[in-house]
Amino acid sequence: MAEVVVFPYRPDDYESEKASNSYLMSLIAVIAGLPLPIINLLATGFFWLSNRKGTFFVRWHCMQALLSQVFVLMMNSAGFYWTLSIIFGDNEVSNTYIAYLITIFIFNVGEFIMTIYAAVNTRKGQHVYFWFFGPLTDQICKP
Amino acid sequence: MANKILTQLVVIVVSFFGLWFLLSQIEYIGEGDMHRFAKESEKKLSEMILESITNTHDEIENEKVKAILDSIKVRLCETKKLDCDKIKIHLVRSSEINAFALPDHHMVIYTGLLEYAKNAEEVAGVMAHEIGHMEKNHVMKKLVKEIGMEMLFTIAAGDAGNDISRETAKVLSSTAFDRKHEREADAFAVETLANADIDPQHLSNFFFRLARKDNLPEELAWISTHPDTKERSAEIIKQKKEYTYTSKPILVTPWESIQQLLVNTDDEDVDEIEEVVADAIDSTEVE
Repeated sequence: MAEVVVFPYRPDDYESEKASNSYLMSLIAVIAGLPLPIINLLATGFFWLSNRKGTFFVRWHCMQALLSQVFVLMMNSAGFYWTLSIIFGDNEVSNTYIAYLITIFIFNVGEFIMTIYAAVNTRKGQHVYFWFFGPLTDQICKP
Repeated sequence: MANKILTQLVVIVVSFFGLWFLLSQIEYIGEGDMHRFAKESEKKLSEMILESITNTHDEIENEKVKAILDSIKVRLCETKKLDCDKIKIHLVRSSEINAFALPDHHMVIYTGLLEYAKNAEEVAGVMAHEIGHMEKNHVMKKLVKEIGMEMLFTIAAGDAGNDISRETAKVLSSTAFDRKHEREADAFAVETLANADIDPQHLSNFFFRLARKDNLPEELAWISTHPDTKERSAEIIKQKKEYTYTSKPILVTPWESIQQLLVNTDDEDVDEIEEVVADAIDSTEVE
């Protein structure tokens, strides 16, 4: 799901730290963002905005972190509003609802592990390339 | 590159929905629990609850009034091809305007409701609504939600004290179903009434008269367990337009004569009362 590939140039220590922080930002936001899934995206989005004029390596990893957060946001938002509709609306807890919660939990854990892996390796100056989000970032983020 | 992205997106989406689908095949709650709660347990549970109700209220064994309620029940059930015999009606003396469904297709109707109703059609409307709760299995779902499956097993096994059975009866008689369940029961009632050639307008009228009361006395229990009454009254009028029916009266005799039977249960004027009831029952059979 995530692999280390060769980047066009060798990033310096400062760039590696910045790129690694983009992943850490989404990890830290997980703690505050658990009840409100939008917080993860906002935190990563602000970090990307503040680094959009940064070097290619930093911009690329900020964008990959942001895209992966958009995916998580969509999954979690659906679960969040489904839960609200059960608490305040007419919906009931059903097998489908519980299955959805388990599914998004599994995907969240997967994304969490990938993010930690990316944060650690990017800090070492390695270029971590996520499955699907990597090629997508290549299309969006140009040198 | 675009093909690679698209392929990987499809794989992620398929994995997500596939995993969700597989996981939703597992029964975590709900229907599985319902099936687990065997019919026999449901029967025992209703016996325990009924016992706790009849400990505090007198059950009226007036065959004449019960015959009228049964005839209304038959008219409602026949149109929906429901098994009439499984629905058991209990008439209980209480000034509360209330009726509610118990597990195992028991229905409790308080005399206060019959006294408040203006005609047999209004009573039929309330009965159709409660049958709706029975048929849609709302009663057990409500009990599972409010009391919990384990406690229901304990009550059904006879291991729970009288207090717990009393509390369970209270849940059914004095707390509301979910709004979704109420609307489902309303829709069921409108369909059943229309099929039985009873104007659903009477149920709407009954709701509306209850809703007009500004200060709810304690006796108005049915309205406290049936919220949003005005909106639902309007919804019933809207729904009834979807059905075509010829409104036929349930009884030819005045409803007040039937109400008199609830008051005058002594042997005074027996001949006159029996004549009234005989007429009433005959007329329902003709319908």
